[in-house]
Amino acid sequence: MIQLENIRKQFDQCVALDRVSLDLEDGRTYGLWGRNGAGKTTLIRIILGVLPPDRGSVRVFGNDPKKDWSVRREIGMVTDEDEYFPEITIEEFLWWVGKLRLVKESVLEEQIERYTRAFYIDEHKNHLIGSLSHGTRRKVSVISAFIGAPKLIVMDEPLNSLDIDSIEALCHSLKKHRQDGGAALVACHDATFIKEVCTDIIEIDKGRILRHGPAETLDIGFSVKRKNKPSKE
Amino acid sequence: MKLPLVVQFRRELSTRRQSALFDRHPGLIVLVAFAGPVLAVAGFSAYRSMQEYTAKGLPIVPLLLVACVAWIGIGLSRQLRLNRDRKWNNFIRYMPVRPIHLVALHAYVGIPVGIIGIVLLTCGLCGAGVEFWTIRAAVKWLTIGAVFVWVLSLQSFLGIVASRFSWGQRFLLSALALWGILFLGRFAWSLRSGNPYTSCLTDVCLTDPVFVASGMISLVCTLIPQRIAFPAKGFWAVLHLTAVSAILTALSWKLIRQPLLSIAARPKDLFFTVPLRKLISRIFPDSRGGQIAVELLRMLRGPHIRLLFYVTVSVITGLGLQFAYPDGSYHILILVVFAVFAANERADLLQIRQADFLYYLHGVDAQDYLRGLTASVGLLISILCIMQVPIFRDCDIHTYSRMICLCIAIAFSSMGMNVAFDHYSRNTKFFKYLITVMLFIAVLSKAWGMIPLVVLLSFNVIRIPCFIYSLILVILSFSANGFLPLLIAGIVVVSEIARTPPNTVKKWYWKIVE
Repeated sequence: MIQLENIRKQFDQCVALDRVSLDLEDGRTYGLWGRNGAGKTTLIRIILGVLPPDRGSVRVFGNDPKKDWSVRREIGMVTDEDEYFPEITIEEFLWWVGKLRLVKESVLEEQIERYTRAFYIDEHKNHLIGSLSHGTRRKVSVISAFIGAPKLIVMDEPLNSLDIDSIEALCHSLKKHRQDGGAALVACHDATFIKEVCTDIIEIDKGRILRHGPAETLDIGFSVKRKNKPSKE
Repeated sequence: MKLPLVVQFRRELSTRRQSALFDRHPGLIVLVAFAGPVLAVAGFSAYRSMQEYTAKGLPIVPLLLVACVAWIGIGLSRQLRLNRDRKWNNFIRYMPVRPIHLVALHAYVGIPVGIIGIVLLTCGLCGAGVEFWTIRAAVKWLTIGAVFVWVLSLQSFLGIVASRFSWGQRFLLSALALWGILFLGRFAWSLRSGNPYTSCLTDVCLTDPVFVASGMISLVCTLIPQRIAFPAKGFWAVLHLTAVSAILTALSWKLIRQPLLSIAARPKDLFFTVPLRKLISRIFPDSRGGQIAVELLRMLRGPHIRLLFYVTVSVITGLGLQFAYPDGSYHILILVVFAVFAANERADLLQIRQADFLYYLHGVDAQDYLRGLTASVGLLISILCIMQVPIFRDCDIHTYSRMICLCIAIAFSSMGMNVAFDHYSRNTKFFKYLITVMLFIAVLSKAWGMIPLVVLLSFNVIRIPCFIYSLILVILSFSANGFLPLLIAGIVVVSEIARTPPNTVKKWYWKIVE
C-alpha cells in the first residue's frame, strides 16, 4: 500500500528524515512512535504528498502522491494542527468532506449519523464548529478521517483533547477499519493506545527508523530503557 | 453552469465568514450597502477624469497600461490572501481536488475585482471618447470580455506561482523591479531624442516587450479612440488575449500540482531603539507606556505596515503627478487606486485583533489596553492622512485644519472603538448620530477624502443604526462643507472619554474581545 524508499528530508541545517525505507501493507494498523521532533509529522506529510522529499521515492497505492491527486480520495487524514472552519456546522463540514471524496449522498448521511453517534456528538451536529469545545472540535476532525471509508487513514496525534469515551470510540473505529481491510498509520505518544490498537510499531528517532516490527514483539512506554535519552542537565 | 465542488465550498465558506464578520463588526454592512453607489460614483469619477485628461491632449496609452497593471495588482492581493488562508489551505491540501478545479478556485477569487475593473475601465474609456454603443463597436465589447478572462488567468497564474514555490514571490518581485528599471532606462534614453516626453512615453510603452507579449498593446490599440478599431485589429486583439489566457491557464494547471507551501506568518524584525524606549517611558512612566509600546510594535510588525507602504507609494506617485501637471487633479486617481489596495487588507487587520484575549488572560488593565490600541491605530491612520498633505500643498489653512481634524477624528473612531462610541455617547443616540454625520461630512466633502473614507468604512468605524436613516444623512452631508462639525465631534468624544469611570470602560471594552 505504501512504499517509502531511502527518504531524506532536511530543513535548513536540521535533518528531519534520513534513509527512511518502509513498506506498509493493507489490513494493518501502524503506530508511529517517537520523541518530539523525531520526524513523525514530516514522514506523514511526505506520505501524503504535501511535502516533497529531498531524496528517495514515495508510492501510495502504486502512485506518487505528489503528482496523483486522486490518491487522496482514498486517504483519511487527521492533522496535529487544530485548524477548523468555525463558521459552519459539524454536519456541513462532514458533508463537504464526503462530497469532496465523492461519497454518495445516502452513504454519506448514514456515515455522518453513525460516526457522530459513535463519538457522542450527534446532539451537536447542527452547531457551529466555532461554538464547540476544543475536544468536540477534535472529534469532528477525527470523524472526518473516517468519512467515505478511505483505504488508508493517517492520524497525527489523534488523542489530543479527546475524552476517554472518544478514545475508546476511536479504538473501535480503527479496529473496524482494519477488519474491513483498510490500513492506518497513527502517530501517537500514548503507549497504551498504540498497544491496544496497532498491529505494528515503527519507532523513529532523529529522522531514522530505530525499530519496526509487530506490536507484540516491541516494548514501548515508560519502563523501556531508551537510547539517546536526553540528559536532565 | 455547475461550479466545481471546491469552488462551491469556498463560496459557502466566504458567505459564512462575511456573515460572521458582519455580526462582529456591523459597520462593515455599510461598506456592502454602499458598494453599488460607491462603484457608480467611482465609475463616474473615472469618466470625468478621463474627459479632463483627454481634453488636455495627454497620452492615453500609458494611462491605460497603468490601469491594467493596477487592476492585475489589486486582484493579485486577493490571490495572496487566499494563499495566506491557513485554515483553508490546511484543509484543501489533504483533500482530493482536481488541479483544474484549484485553478478555477483561483480564478473565482478574482471575479469581484474583475467586475469592478471592467466597470471602471469601461467608464474611463467612455470618458476618453470611445464609443461602445454602435454595432461597429461590438468588437470592443468582445475585447473587454477577453480582457476579463485574461486578467483572471494572469492573476491566477501569479497567485499560484507565489503559493507553490518558495522563490515565487521573490522571483515575481525581482522580475517586476528589473522590468521597471529597464522601462525607465528606455524612457530616459528616448528623451534624448528631443521629442515631448508624452510621445516618448507612448512610444516606449507601445514597444515594450512585456506589454506586447502579454497582449496589453493589442488591447490598448483596439480600445483607444485615436486608433480606429477596425474589426480585424479587434479580432486580432481578442485572439492574442485569448492565446495568452490559454497559455497561462495551461501553465497554472501544470504548476498547481506542486504541493502548497506552508506560509507561516513571520513578524517583522522591528524593535524600538533605546532612546525611543526611554522617551516613551518618560512620557508614560506607568504601565500605559508599556501597553502603548506593545500595541505599536504589534501594529508595525503585523500586516498593518502594508497600509503605510500603499500610502507611501501613492503619495510619491501623487507628488510626481502634481509636479508634472500642477493644474491637474490626476493624482486623485492614484490615491483612489491605492485606497482600494488598503481596503483590501481589512480582513487581516481585523483578524489580528482577536489575539487580544491574551491580555485579558494576563490581567492587563483594560484602560491601558484601550489607550495603547487607540494610540497605535490612531497614529497609523493619522500618518495615512498626514502623508497626503504634501500632495495638496496649495491648500489654504482652512483645508489643512480640516485635514488635521479628520485625522484626529479617525484616530478616535478607528478599529475597535465602535464599542467605545456606544459607551461614550452614553446611549445618547443623538451624539452618536451627530458624530456619524460629522464624519461623513468631512470625509465626503473633498475628493481626497476617498482614502479616509475607504479606511473608515473598512475599519468598521461607525456603527450605523439604520441604513435608510444613514443614507439620508449622507445625502444631506453632500451639501455641507467645513471642518467645524468635525471639531465639535472631536471635542464631544474627548470630553466623553474624560468623564467615563474606569470600571465602565472595562465593562464595555472587553465586549470587543468576546
